[in-house]
Parts: sequence; C-alpha cells; structure tokens
Amino acid sequence: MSELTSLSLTEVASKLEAKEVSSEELTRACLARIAAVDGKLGAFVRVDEEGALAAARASDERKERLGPLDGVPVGLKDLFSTKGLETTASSRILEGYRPPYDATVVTRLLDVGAVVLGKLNMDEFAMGSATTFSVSGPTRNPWDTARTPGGSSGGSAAAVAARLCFATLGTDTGGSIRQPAALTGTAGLKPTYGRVSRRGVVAFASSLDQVGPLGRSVRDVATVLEVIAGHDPRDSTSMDVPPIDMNAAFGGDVRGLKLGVPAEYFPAVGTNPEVLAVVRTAIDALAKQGAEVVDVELPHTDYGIACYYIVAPAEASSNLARYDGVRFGRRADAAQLEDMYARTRSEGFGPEVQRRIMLGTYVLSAGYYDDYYLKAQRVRALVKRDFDRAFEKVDAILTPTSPVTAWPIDRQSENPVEAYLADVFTVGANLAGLPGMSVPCGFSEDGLPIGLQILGKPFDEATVLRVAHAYEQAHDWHLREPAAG
Amino acid sequence: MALTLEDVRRVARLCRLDLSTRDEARMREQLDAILVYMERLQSLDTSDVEPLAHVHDVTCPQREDEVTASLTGEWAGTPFCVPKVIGGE
Repeated sequence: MSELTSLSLTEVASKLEAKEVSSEELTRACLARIAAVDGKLGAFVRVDEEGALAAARASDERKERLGPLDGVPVGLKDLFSTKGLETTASSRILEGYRPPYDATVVTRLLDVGAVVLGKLNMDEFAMGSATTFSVSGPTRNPWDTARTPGGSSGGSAAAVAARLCFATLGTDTGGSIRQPAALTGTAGLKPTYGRVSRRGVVAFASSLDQVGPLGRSVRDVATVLEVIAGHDPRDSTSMDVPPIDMNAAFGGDVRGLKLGVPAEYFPAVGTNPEVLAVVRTAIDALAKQGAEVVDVELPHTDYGIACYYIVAPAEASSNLARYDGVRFGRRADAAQLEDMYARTRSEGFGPEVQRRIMLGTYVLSAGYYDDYYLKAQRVRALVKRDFDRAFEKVDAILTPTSPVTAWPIDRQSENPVEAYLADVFTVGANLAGLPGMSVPCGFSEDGLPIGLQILGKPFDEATVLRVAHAYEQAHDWHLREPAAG
Repeated sequence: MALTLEDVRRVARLCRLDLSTRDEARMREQLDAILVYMERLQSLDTSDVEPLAHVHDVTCPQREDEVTASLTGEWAGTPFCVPKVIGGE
C-alpha cells in the first residue's frame, strides 16, 4: 500500500492507463495513509471518503480515460468552492458554509476525472506564511513536525510531501504556494496573473491572487497546470492567451538560456547563509548544464514588502467586507444591524485577518489614501519595471524562494513586520504578475528543505518549467521522502 | 506621527470590527509598528510613474447586451426564503 503512495503522479497515471492499478486501490491507499499519518500533520481539514470513492469507482468504470488525471487522488486548499462540501478558508466566519457551486478550477479537475480526497488546511483567508492562523490548528512539516510547513498553502504542501495524495491545488498571493513548497521539499508553481481562473476561489487580494499546483515533480505540476489553466469568461481578470507550450517546457535543456541572478536576493543580512550557499550551488549546477548565468538588478526589491503589505491588505479589506453575517457564513446575535455586523466579524475573524483588515481600511481611508495606497501602487509600477528591464537581458531569473528554512511552530513573532519579511523573495512575482516556481535544491545541515525559485516573463511558464525540469532531472532532491509517517 | 487610539477606533468603525479595550491597545501598537515600516516608501521618488492597478494592459472585457439564462436548473424560478437577519432563528 505504502509503495503506491510513494509513486509520482506521472507514474500513477501510467499505471492507471496500463490498468496495473485501479483508481479505487489508489484512493484507498491514500485514505489509509491519511488515516495513519495525518493525525500528526493536520494537512487535511476535511476528508470526503464517500465522494472520493464514488469518483474513483466512476473512473474505473470508464471505458476511455479522460486524461492523465483520471482516477488520480488530489487535495484542494480549503478556499476552493466545492459544491456541497464545506469550504471555510480556515475561518470561523465560514464554518458550515457549503458552496452551491464548484470553482472553475475544481470543475476542470472533475471534468477530467480527478478524485478529490478532501480540503486542506491553510492560514485563514490565505493570510499568513506558516499555516498557524487556522481555526483547525497548525499543519506540521513532515520533515520535522515541530516546525511549520510554511503558508498559507501549508496543508497543500504537507500533503504532497507526506505522500497523502499525488498533487494539490494552492493559491499564491505573496508566495503562498512557492514558500511552503520550498519549506517542504516539493514543487509548486504560481502562474502568470490571469493564466488560471479565480472564479469560485475565496478572494484575498484580487490583483495578486493566483491558483497553482503543488506536486512531487515538475512534470506532475505541469500536468495539473495544463488542466486548470485557460481563459474563463466568468473571471474578468482571466486572460485569453495561447496555452502553455509543454513541448518547449519538456523538450529541451538549458543550453543557450540566459539565467539572471539578482544580487538583491542574496543579501548579507536577514537571510540564512546556508540557504544562500545551497541556492548558489544550484545556480552553478545550472551553469554547468549549459546555461549562461548573468547578473541582473532589481533595485526596488527592498521596497517590495512595504508595497505588498499595503496593497494586499487594502484589497483584502474590500474583499472581506462581504462577510457581514447577512448572506452566508456565521451570523452573531444582536438587536441592531450595526452590532450584528461588528459582532459577527469580530467573533468570526482571527487576529491576523483583523489586523490586515484594519491596516487595509486605514491605508484606503480619507486623508491616507494618497500617501499609502496610491504611493504603494506607484512603487508597484517600479517593481514591475525592474523585472521588465531585467527580462530584456535574460530568459528567467533565479533566486532563493525563502530567506529561511522551516521554523518552530511555537516561535511566533511578536512583531508582525518580522513575520512579513519572510515573504521578501516571493512578493515581487505577485506584484509584477509573473510566473514563478519553487523546486527543491538541497537541505540544510539539520535536514530541512531548501527551494530554488525560478521566475519567468509574463505567460512564459514554458521557460520556467524548462529550467525547473532540467535542474530537477540532474539531481534527486525531489525523490527524497520525509520520515514522518 | 504615531497612531492613536482614536485612529484605531475610527478605522474599526469603518470596517465594522468590535475591538475590546485590550485588543484596541494591542492593535494600536502593532499597526503603528507596521506603519513605521511603511514610511520607507516615502523616500522613493515616484514622480515619473503612474499607479499600477493591474499588471496587464487590458480593459474590462465586455459581452453583447443579450439576455442569457441566469438562474438555471434546480434554482430556476424558485423564490429564496431566508431567516430574518435581525430577530430571525
């Protein structure tokens, strides 16, 4: 049983195709593993055994497979609307909420026969970098269960790392796919803004949020990406662009590619020197594989966190205004409407969410809008301009994904700014709307995973995947399994 | 200029949050620390850039002004009965 769950998505799809294994066997293997191991990890907040087995049987009964994901068990971060299946965004304010429809990306997965095992833990409303701000409690890193798996898609990352399922979906607003992927030794990709539909995804920051896959290999991630990507007329920010050229992504190597390395992402302070050393070794390896490594400048890197933590909370304060106890979710008892609103929201939202709503409201309020929000939007233009200029010289940019390795769960920073600085290398791609991927590239002395981040030009996921795949195949980091379970 | 408790109360009213006295004090302290960090943006010369609201050069897509099905299937034609918002069950 455990051997089945150790296979990659690609291997499992192949076995399903050859009828060497059934979807029901695979699904039962995953459910058994979840039952055995997830008590220690807390990756899943809800397992839909009945629904999963029904989907598995339907897959096994089909004469012709619908594609590589047909019959493959996967997990979904709990902010994807799943019809009839509770969706809470790990918030008390959505406890008991059963969406009346599936998110577009969920429909796309179901239409190709994927088996949804259940919903995965996250930081509440995707606000966090450690999956510790959840109404269900923290998720633990399979590599060291005293440590965080990162966040906000910590459940999605831990589930893949611990072999509980073959791929997961997460979302990334400031790094919430890439950073947990790096901290758990898995592969995670944030697409170009507009590549994947956001319809039916509980919104955090509408100009930054993107849906993306996490998996055990670049090919696994690409397989899922191909299914979920594509224009959705019901998401007006979804872009109608040509599909990702997967032949280009997997048909070549890195010879002739120019890869940029920005000095600003290898700072002397605030970053674990071991992380920098391991990432530099990975970059050297790519150079040996035939890529040309070039210095690039991203001079506004240090302003990215300030910019992000104005723009994102501002957009969040607007998006979370809908949680007013009237139409759906939790409703507090009160005699007056205003009291009902305030009590519902204060009881329903956790402390980090409240902090960000307050911050967002402040920076948008009269007298402060110009100095904060408008200023941040101008800085955002500068951050994007830095990348546009760098991409005139190079095909992709290489950086560390996270400045640190996984930290202890009980080490909560009193200072919120310190926590926010963990996102320093990831927010740039969200501010500029670029595709970015993290792949495992080594371990620290104490056995914690380290990720290499690859950033690409808008809509050039093909080059990002190409670099990631070439690196991955020349090493075996992605084949290592954590001890937990 | 440091954030005051009055600022915190004003903002809480705007976003419909009900903060206890202790929460107010802590919120003031934490927001103040964050806003102090944000001050660094003021040192940037942004006189030659427009605010960037959307990363791609697109305008809101439109469709033909035709009536299409709205509520379909199980929802079509059904009225929605909901509990009273105040004083309901």
